[in-house]
Amino acid sequence: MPELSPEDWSLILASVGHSQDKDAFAKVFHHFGPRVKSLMLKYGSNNELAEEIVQETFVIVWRKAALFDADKAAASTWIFTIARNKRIDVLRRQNRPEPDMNDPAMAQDPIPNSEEFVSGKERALAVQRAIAKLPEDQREVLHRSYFSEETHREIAKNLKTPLGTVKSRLRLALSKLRTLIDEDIGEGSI
Amino acid sequence: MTVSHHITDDLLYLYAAGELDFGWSLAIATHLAMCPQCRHRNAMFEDVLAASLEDEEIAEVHTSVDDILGMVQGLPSLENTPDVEVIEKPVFPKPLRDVAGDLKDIKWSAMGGGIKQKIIHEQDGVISRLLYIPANKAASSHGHNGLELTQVVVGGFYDGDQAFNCGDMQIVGHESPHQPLAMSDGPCICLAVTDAPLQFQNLLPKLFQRAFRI
Repeated sequence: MPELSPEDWSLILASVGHSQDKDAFAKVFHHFGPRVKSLMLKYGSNNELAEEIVQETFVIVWRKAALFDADKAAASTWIFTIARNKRIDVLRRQNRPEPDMNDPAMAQDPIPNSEEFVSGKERALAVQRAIAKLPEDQREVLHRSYFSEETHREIAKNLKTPLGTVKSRLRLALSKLRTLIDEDIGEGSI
Repeated sequence: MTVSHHITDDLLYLYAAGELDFGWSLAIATHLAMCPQCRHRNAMFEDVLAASLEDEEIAEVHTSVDDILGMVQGLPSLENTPDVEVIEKPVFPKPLRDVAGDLKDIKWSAMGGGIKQKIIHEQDGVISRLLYIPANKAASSHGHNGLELTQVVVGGFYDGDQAFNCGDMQIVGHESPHQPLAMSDGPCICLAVTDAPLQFQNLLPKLFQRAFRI
């Protein structure tokens, strides 16, 4: 099977939502399930917990698939956010505070101007291109080092500044990333 | 409402990764509800984190797709239904309402000088409180050992030569004393999240020692 593009995955995920397509769901599960599990292991979950998070994530993927909107998010990002929230739910028995798009007290987004509007799909692609251009050590900071046990031990030792260590490492990588994305899809988009 | 003091990249990224404790996440989610610009950056950071799903190695999953389909059998689809009927537009954004109720529900404790507070959440040393400062009044000056996030939800305040308006977030780091002064056009209400002073953890045993004469 040729490798599928992010756009293909958006279409496949959308068809899970539109027509409860079980074959499409199986494709999504076989592709993203092992990746979600790998990420959870890297976050420090043991095998059993990582498996549980995968199960609960894909139960939600099936039940929420009709809400997936390819203009707002890439399929991988949508699945990532579900897995992230499930992890918090499973570990802390707690909901993660997040803004609710239906909240009447929410400050509305400016109406997307046709020239400046960047869809979730385009944004995710620009992000992937930018990450690829980052120096290796900075890519590592974004994806790995602060999940590692070593970082957590370090944080535990410096109880007074629990966020300090992680924050200073991230700052540089994120600033570089923003510059790259600005060059790609235009100033002010991040 | 134009927000001019935003969440820093590092904090927002850790929020997007799901790595922050509840209190910090609450302050950030409240800011996001009030700031489309940071919401956009948050979405971008989620893309960055999700990209690791695409380029990482994979792990063996023991659950089959039929297992999952068995689990969802009979469960309804989850819809994104707006609140049925909102009679009055709430003052607090939803993440804050979920924890504290809306402004009218808050049972304040007076702290003197018209200043009031309400602790709305406390966990693992991270304390979230609402602060009410009447127009033209200043909260007491305080330093701090850790991090303090102050999200303005009503009105605004000055701190030194900086103005923090509705929607703004003030991020104060280690040991820099500060003193918010409410603006003159009305009361200021903020969500302030801090980590408890570290010495507190030693105080309790001392109190126990005294009480039980051990």
